[in-house]
Amino acid sequence: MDEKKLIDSAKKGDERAFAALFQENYPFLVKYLIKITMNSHIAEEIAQGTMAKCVEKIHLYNGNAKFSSWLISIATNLYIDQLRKQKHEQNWQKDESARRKLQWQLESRKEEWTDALTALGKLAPAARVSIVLKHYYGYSYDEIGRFLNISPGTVKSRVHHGLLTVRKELAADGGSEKISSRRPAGK
Amino acid sequence: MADQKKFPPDDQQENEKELLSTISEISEGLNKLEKIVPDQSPQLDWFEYMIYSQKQQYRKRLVKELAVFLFIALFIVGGMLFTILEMPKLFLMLQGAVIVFIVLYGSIRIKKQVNM
Repeated sequence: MDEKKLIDSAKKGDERAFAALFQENYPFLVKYLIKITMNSHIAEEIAQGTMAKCVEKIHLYNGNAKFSSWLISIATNLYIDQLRKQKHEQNWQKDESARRKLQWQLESRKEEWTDALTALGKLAPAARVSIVLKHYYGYSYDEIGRFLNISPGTVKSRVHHGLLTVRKELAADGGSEKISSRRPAGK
Repeated sequence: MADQKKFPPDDQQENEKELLSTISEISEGLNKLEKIVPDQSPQLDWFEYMIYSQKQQYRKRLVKELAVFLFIALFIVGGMLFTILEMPKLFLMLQGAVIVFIVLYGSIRIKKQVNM
C-alpha cells in the first residue's frame, strides 16, 4: 500500500495501517533525532513520544508536506520542549557523557568520530537543529521556520552563526588537515 | 555601517569556500553518525501495541477531562439555581456586580487603547 492510502486508513482508525506507516518511517526518524540530540537514548525516547503525539494529531495532518517532514516537525518541537524543561547545568554533563557514549558506539563499528561532530555537539541545540535541517536534509529557511515557529530570518542567522562557530572550532583543532589526513586511503 | 560589512571579493570567496568545506565536513560526520541506527524497524506488532495503548491513554484522558468539566458545570448551575430559589436578593446582587465589573473593565481597556 502506498503512503497516502496508509495515511487515509490511519485517519479512519486502522491501527495496522498506522503501524505500517510508523514502521516505514521509524529508522528515518531515529536517524534524524540522533543527529540533533547527539544522544541515542534521548533519540529513542523522543521518537516514541513523536509517534504517540502523531496518534493523537493524525486528523490535523493535511498531506501538504511529506509525512516524514511532519514527523520531523513534531519531533523537533518535542526535543525543544524537553530542553526547556531540563536544567541547564545538568544538561551539559549529561550531553557530554552521551556524546562520549555515541563516540564509543561509532568507533566500535570501525567508524571514526570526526572533529566536525565534536564541534556540532558543542553547538547550542537550536543552531544544531537549524544546520542539520538546512544542510543535511535540504529544507528551505521558510520550511525550517515553520517547523520551529520562528521567522526564516532567525533560522538563517542561527545557521550562519552556527557554521561560523563550527568553522572556528575546526580551525582551533587544526580540523580540516587532521580530518583529511585521518581519512582511510581510497575514500 | 554598510561599508564595514563589505569584504574584498577575494576574502568573500575564501569565506564562502571555507563555509562550504565546513558544511561538507559536517555532512560527512553526520553520515557516519547515521550508521549507528539500524535500518530495520521493530516488528509491526510492537507498533500496533504502542498505537493501541496510546489510544487507550488518550481516551482515558478525554473521559477524565470531560468528567471534570461536567462536575464544574454542574457546580456552577447548581449554585445559580440555589441562589435564585433560596436567596433571590443575593442572585440579583451577584448579577449586578458582574455587570458593573464588565462595564468598568471594558471602559478601562478602551481608555488604555486610546492613550496608547
